[in-house]
Amino acid sequence: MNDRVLDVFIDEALGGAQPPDLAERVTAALAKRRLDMESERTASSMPISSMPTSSGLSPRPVPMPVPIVPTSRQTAPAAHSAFSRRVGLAALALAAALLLMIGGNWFWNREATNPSVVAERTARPKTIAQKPGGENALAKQAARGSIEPIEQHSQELSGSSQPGNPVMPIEPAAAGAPWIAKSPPGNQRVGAGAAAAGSMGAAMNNTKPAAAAVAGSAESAQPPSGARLDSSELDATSAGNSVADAAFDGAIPSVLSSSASTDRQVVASINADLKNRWQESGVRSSPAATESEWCRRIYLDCIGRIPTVEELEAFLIDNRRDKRARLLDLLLDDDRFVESYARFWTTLWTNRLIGRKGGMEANSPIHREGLQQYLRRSFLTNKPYQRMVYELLSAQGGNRPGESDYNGAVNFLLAHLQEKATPATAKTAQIFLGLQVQCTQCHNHPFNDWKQNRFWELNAFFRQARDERTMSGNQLRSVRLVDRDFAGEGGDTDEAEVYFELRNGVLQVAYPTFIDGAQIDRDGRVSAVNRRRELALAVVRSEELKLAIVNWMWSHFFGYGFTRPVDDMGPHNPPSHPELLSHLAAEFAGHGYDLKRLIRWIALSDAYALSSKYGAKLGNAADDPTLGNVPLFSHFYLRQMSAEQLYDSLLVATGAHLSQVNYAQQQLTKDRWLEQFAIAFGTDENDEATTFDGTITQTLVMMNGELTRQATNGDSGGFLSQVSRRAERAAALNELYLAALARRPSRQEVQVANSLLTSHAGDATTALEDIWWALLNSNEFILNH
Amino acid sequence: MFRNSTVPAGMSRRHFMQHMAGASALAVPAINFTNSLLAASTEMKKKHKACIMLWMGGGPSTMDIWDLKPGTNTGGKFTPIDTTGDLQICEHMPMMAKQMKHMAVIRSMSTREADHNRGRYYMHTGYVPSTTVEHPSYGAVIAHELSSQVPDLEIPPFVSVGGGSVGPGFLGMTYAPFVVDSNGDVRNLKFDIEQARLQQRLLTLNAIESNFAGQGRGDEPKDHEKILKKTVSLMTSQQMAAFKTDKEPKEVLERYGVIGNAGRGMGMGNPGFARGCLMARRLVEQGVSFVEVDFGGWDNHANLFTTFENKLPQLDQPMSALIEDLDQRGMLQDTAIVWMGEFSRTPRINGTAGRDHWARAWSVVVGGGGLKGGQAVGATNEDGTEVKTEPYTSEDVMASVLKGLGVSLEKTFTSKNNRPMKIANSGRVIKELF
Repeated sequence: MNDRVLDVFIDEALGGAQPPDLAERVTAALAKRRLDMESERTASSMPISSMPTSSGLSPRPVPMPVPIVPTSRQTAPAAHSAFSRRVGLAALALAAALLLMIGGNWFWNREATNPSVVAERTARPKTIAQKPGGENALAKQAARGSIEPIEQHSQELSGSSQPGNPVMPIEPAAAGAPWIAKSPPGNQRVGAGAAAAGSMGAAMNNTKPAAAAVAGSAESAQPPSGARLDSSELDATSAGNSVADAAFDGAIPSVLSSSASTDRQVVASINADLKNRWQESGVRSSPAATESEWCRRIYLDCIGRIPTVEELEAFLIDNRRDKRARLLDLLLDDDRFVESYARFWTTLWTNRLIGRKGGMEANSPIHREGLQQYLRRSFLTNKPYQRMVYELLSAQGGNRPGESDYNGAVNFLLAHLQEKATPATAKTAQIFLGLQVQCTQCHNHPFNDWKQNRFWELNAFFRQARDERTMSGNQLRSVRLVDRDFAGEGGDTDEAEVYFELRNGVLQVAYPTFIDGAQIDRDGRVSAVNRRRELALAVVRSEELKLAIVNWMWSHFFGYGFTRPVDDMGPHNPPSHPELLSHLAAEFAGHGYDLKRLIRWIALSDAYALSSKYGAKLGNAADDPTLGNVPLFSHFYLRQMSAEQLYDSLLVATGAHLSQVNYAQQQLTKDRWLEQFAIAFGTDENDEATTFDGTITQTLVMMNGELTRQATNGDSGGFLSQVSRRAERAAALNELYLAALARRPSRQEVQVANSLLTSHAGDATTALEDIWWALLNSNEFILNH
Repeated sequence: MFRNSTVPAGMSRRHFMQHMAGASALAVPAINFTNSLLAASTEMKKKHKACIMLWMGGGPSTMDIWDLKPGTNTGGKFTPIDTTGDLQICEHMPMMAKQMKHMAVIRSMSTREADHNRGRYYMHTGYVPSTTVEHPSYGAVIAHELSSQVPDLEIPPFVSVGGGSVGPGFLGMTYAPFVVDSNGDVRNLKFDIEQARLQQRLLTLNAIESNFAGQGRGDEPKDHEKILKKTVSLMTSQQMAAFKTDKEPKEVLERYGVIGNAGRGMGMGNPGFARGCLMARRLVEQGVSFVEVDFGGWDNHANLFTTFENKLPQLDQPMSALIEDLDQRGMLQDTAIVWMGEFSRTPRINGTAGRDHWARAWSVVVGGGGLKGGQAVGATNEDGTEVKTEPYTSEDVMASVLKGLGVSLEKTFTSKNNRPMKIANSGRVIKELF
């Protein structure tokens, strides 16, 4: 169930390369786990095909409304038909015109004769003829946000029609006509980027009908903060997820706030807040990033990989004003991307919830794939965040597919129940509430008003939880997370308490009490009160939940959150933009805890579209968080790709993932690769660090690792061999630069490529291997910029 | 460790090194770590200073290892034994007892960070975590100050074995720890193309790198450029052999506990930690300025004593082997050893026979590197709950180790935001150590 565009790319690119050593390593584990997955497929209570969005997941029929334009690529017909949807007759006419203008051949080593450097942005054509006839047919596609990859675009018009420039400059920096050189003449296809004149702004104002028709606010339906939680809200008499969900539905009405703003308003409020701060702080904002930079960013941050050349070009050729909103719609909602989206956020959240090592050992009580499957389904359906958190905290059942009561969500808490569930207490507070309370296990918090008793009062919510293990011989077969009556550490089930020691050794008692002071019944019997369910309800109703997720999401897109660290919020660590944070939190809740909507707001803000260049000349040298300054977001903060983003980007940039059709297999291969970077700290709190942090270790992986080795093998039948088969060397060079860096090579880089070619005696494949290696190892590739 | 001047004329340094390696392979291993030939070569080496940190992740209960309180409520079940120094330590550390003449136990440590992350940071840097500055860790500071003594070192001056250590902070990625497994396999080291072609690739890469680094996007692109250079140096270096503990004679492997030696009652060492200790000695010989060896699993909230009965021997054998080895090779006086964790554990034994986090009164062990051994520095009260002499901190330990290594304590770094940062956070030298 890969997304269609990837399939296209895959089919076209690397027929069948698979990382050999990785494959070997995982084969054994796979055999077993595949069985698990297979049985799960049949036994699962929640097959993907029956999910609400199932229609979106089924392979999409590909209409062929217009004749297929011949291309240089002799590959998957489905791909071509997808491409061709956007190609109207108008486009054909343009192509013909272009062909007339582009006559000559060009090579790398031809010096550019046209010195007029046209910046990418300004070169973007307003010149595309919008032929009325083609508009209607294309408008539907465009309105859906399905921007199709197109090989050529009319940007060439401006560059190629320069008088006195009979030879197309092949040096891309020297002209605004980069892609003219991509395919040999005779195979031009010109896309229609002109489709959607009438639909501008539509995507920005895409408040869904449901949101418009809301009645009452989520807040008003909830008990006031600090109130004693009412167990009668729950139908908590029996275990099982359906019941748990019913409890959730009863307690957390799924109504949206009528006061919620439109997306446009929320984005405007972000812009205004940040701008005010820039003015107050006397900094200027950096100029806007180029469109390709923005495109690369949004792919990395939304679906965890860089765009393919086709995807990039499709965005660049689009000249509609709301093209960014449309690209977001595509990445977040389109059938072809929803799988990538879910996969990326599943990875992020798996790492947050159980670390990079959780469940990776043999005989682990944690079933990593089970958690991943739960998360993936949640992200596929854009499950409201509130509900997802509720499910993770209250989950009961078996931890792996095939169990009759399988519930992958249990694997979060199963990873943290040891040591009287103190890690579960700390992780819950940290991840969902943005509170670092782990030190209050042993003493009062040194910097805020968290007292030691509050840690244990929170801990008391977890004490009915048990992990029950089923062995088969010496092998752990499965683990079940259940709730059992808790007699308290003092043996009194009616008043089931937890003991903790003050630093002076005095023993204290704690009962389940939420962070706002709300207490629940002290009875330890599950039939009387299910403590985790109570906790889950309290967490999802809390202010902290919204603030913490907004802060974290902001930091995901900007590199820094409103607090540092992002998961250490509280009076001792006030946020940098308090009003913006609380405003976004309120809007997020008002829009039904819709994570995709939160992503849209942040990603469509002006600040996210700023260049990563900064400094004294640009008037924002002071806005440098690496100096310890408060982030003002007046420029894009450069950052390393995560290991996960890098892995997926390498696969896309090389097509190396094509042979791995099975989702579980792909995931396992990837997890194994990622695991090499994780280091445990040897504590009971499951802390870990990563060596994928710009050090030599990482550089070695990039220079000599198996993935790179494979990617830079021009004979592998993969992306590189595809590129190197091109007759036009300039086109090949361009394509490599676009694929890796989302830009064309500079004059100097072309010269370097030329001398490399010379030294390889004209062996283009060898030269391209070297260039591709250099590109993948460059700072510009590995940094999200 | 070889300064250029010590290499015989007409012989490249690498060539010379290869000869030396051949010599050591021929040497007959004895119970001693060194034979006369190697000992002679050791004499030939110019002294370079280095530091080895044995990092005990989790926060070990020092009052069950170095500062026992037998017969008190808090004392636990272990008995103290005499040592070659003027102090007693735990009965489960008999091999270390023989080496205590070289080591000092600072028993009056009193710190305030009892959270793993904060404690790890504080003990590694001398600073409490800050939202505005990232401070350099021991390894980065010492590599920064000492690596110029070994100009032809091709491997990173700061190596962390089996754990992540703490980063270089404002000193920059070139002083970041090079993290390796204790098995010494550095992954992805081999490149499968000819060296000439690698050079061409690097030239191409350089064009892209410098283009981006010159665009005013901060330090990160520039750091990447530097790391690339260091990586290439590593890939082509003969010095990588220092990571290969398997080259050591069997007796040495047995003494460290890398392999078992049941006949002599040894082989109790934790193989990972044992390899790490042995690798540390090899790396320091090669000229590495700072090696951290990780040994985790000290977060003993429960069943501490049964755990320790197994765990202390795993510490005892490799640690004592390292000290003895360095001593026999004449390297101990130039190589400081620091043994510590984030903090220690509560004197009070909890309901599950464990101890919880505790930083108010605990011990750190140091030795070698010009520090005076064979002694206990400071003292705790009779049940170990309070320090009853001058309390010492992370800063003080760091300042003392640096002084022992000849690093000036007047040194002031400048953080990225132009704040002056005194080395070791202006810690005081612990006078008993000199």
